Amino acid sequence: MMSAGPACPICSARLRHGVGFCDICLVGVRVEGQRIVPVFPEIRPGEVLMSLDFSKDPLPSVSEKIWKNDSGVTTAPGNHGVTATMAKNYSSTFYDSTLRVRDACVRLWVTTHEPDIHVGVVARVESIGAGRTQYQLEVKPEQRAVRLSKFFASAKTVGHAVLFPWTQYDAIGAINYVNDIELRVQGPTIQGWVNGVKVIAAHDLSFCIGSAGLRFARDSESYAGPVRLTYHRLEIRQVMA
Amino acid sequence: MKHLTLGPSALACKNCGGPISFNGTFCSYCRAPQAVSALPELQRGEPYFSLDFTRDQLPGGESTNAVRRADGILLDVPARGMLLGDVGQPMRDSCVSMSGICLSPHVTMGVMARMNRIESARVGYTLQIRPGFRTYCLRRVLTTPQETILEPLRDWEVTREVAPVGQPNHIELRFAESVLTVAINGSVVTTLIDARFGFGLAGWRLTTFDERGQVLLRSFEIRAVY
Repeated sequence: MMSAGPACPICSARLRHGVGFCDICLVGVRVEGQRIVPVFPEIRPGEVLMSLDFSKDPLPSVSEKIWKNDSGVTTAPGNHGVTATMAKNYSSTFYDSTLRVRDACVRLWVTTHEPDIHVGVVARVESIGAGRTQYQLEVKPEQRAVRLSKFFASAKTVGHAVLFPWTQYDAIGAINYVNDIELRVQGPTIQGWVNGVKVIAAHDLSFCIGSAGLRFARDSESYAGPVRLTYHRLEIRQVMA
Repeated sequence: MKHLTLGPSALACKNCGGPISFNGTFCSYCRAPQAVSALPELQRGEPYFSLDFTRDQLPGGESTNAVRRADGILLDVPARGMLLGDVGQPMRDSCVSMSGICLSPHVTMGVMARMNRIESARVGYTLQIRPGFRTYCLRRVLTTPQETILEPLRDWEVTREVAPVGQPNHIELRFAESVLTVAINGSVVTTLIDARFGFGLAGWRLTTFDERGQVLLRSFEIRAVY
């Protein structure tokens, strides 16, 4: 056996000298100057698995374009897509549980019209009883910021673990601009893209299979009145070699 | 902990050594075509973390009622209760095993694997045996302080491999990529594919049904798989 070397930059396990992968978390590593850095493989979008044009199609798992729930959230046809309106703090995820895949690219085109909203895409959504776990890439257009997290919800509680905290990027469009938000997952590699710019690369093995879809949340009521966003398109693709 | 290569070579790229998926078609690092479609038989390898409860402490949280004995650690599990603890460092591929004796018909003993914490919640896999009925089950679990959600991958089933109440049992959960193998007292009882959880802590878990029960834990071990 080779002798133990420096620490893995992802999981802190000891790396073997001369070996390009961590034995524990399986991330690829290479030496850059005096440092060991993770190597994240490229994720290439492949064949389309699902494509929804919200000027014609309802949201995933919703049979009608006009929809409302007990929390005062409504969706209705509008402005080149489906417009969701939230009167108070609320979050919801829409996905088709029959599209279950390990590796995928989930891409959403969306416009927010007021502040207090974060919106984005989800991957590897899996239910467990009445609960659910997922990865989520979210954008806050009024702050032009993006975040990646893993999330759970049960009937009694919700929580998330941040993999990449809210970070501002010029590539993110402000309120009333269309944002093209994409989450790519391939094995343990996770990438976040906004408007064609890769903004996040991460390595996480917590969840490895599940559905994909979209999500919105209102987490503050600093804006007086209902807030709206418009979903334009959703596209889910396989990955290719 | 010793340093070891944990995963089976069947789930490594022949070209670059990178990790590949069961049923994956290419290596994400070197893009070389791959084909792992036959279910790999996971074997337990060299130990790299061992606890002998005749001398070592019980790891993890809820062991306040543990009683040290010459032959192990005796735990009293309240009715409809649960005791558990995490062990070691998070990992992808390994074999988690535990030896012990269930001393009551209402008690189960088991191991956990790939346990992830998300705020107050834990998610992962749990293998339990109930010697009172000579049954075992393998389930996904989500626990929070308020609730426990269990989803069977293999629901409770009688197997003669589980020794009855009062006799020692040795249980193993071997996992690599999305392949999970259960071995009880040296015999493989099931192998299946589940890609739900891919990384996390190992641990131990004791539960009871309607009445309190006692378990004598003898050892806990984490090994490589190949």
